[in-house]
Amino acid sequence: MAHAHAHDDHPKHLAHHFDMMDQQVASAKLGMWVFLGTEILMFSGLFLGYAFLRYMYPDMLLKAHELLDWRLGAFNTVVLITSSLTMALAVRAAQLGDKKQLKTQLLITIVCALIFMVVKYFEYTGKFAHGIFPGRYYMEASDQFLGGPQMFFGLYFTMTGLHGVHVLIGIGVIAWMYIRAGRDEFGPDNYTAVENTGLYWHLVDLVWIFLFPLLYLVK
Amino acid sequence: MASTTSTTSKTYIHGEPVPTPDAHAHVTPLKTYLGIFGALMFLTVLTVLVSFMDMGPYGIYPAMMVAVVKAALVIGYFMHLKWDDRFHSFVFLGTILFVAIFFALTFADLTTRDLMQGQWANDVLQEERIRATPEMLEARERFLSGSHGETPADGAVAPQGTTAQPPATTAPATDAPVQGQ
Repeated sequence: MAHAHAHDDHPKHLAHHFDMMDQQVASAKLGMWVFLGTEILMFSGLFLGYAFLRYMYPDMLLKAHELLDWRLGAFNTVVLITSSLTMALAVRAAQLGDKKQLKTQLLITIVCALIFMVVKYFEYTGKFAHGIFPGRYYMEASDQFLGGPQMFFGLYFTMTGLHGVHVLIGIGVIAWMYIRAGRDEFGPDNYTAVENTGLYWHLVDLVWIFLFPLLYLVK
Repeated sequence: MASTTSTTSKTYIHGEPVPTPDAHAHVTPLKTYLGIFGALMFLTVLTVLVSFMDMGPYGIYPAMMVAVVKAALVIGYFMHLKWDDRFHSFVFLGTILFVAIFFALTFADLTTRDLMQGQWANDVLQEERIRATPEMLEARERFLSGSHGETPADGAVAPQGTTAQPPATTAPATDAPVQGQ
């Protein structure tokens, strides 16, 4: 079995520790899905924290979330969904071996991610300017109380912050794919790396799909 | 179909050729992607509009329903799970199962504390009430009744109606763990 490929032409992108391409692709994708599972579990802790806060202090939460601007959240939602589409189109272009299209779509995805982070930057600095910080740094000590807005903003900054870190990492990985696409590394026989990058990026979009209504909209 | 793949490598188990599930062969049509994108945009607008119906705490139900539909579209089509190896669906749904257990057990505790009567049931809430200083109760009143939503700066710049108390007396609010008696 180990030398089964000796009879055929050895596929160009097949690593030596795999018998065949199908096996290599399946391993890579299974690994990616398991990783995405751990990502979901990590974020679920924060979502549970939010659910706890909402259950214990509903009045405070409904009041505190008004301090966030839903327009910026909605704008960022549109930006992220667009980037998810372009990422999916990038994978499609790689499947079809359309290098030009692949590079274009990856580039649009990166630009969308950067727009997202710029909006996030203005949101954060806007909050800081008004003394809205997480935990006990929230405004004056006299503005804090048990189950007060400082708890909501503790979660807000943690959840959007962790999500933001994921966006930044995504920008890095997609840029790496862009460089590799420029080196002609991808084609119909070999696009698993682009596909897995896409899976990661869609997960970042998924997390935001839940963060947006929970933090900005629910009144 | 399989004609789109150039790799025609066969899998052998005990010397017998077996068909391999060739998930890679599927290329989603452009139309499908654009349709999903349109649906996601529509649902985003929908969730914003519904949030303006001011349903209070119940607003979370339609919001989460829309979010789940959006997530399903992203996972099924953009992430290609619909055509993928079924084992990946198993991994994903397994994760969701454990998230559900995580939430269910936590809320089984939270929502039944009142039923437990007496002793330890509401100790946490009780202790929080004991720890709440008059200043905190006042801050709470101010926050919940104030028009904080429009001008976030109000509270920070001019804490109106505060009887200048030394900040040293206010305990650090909720960050510290609740101390038992």
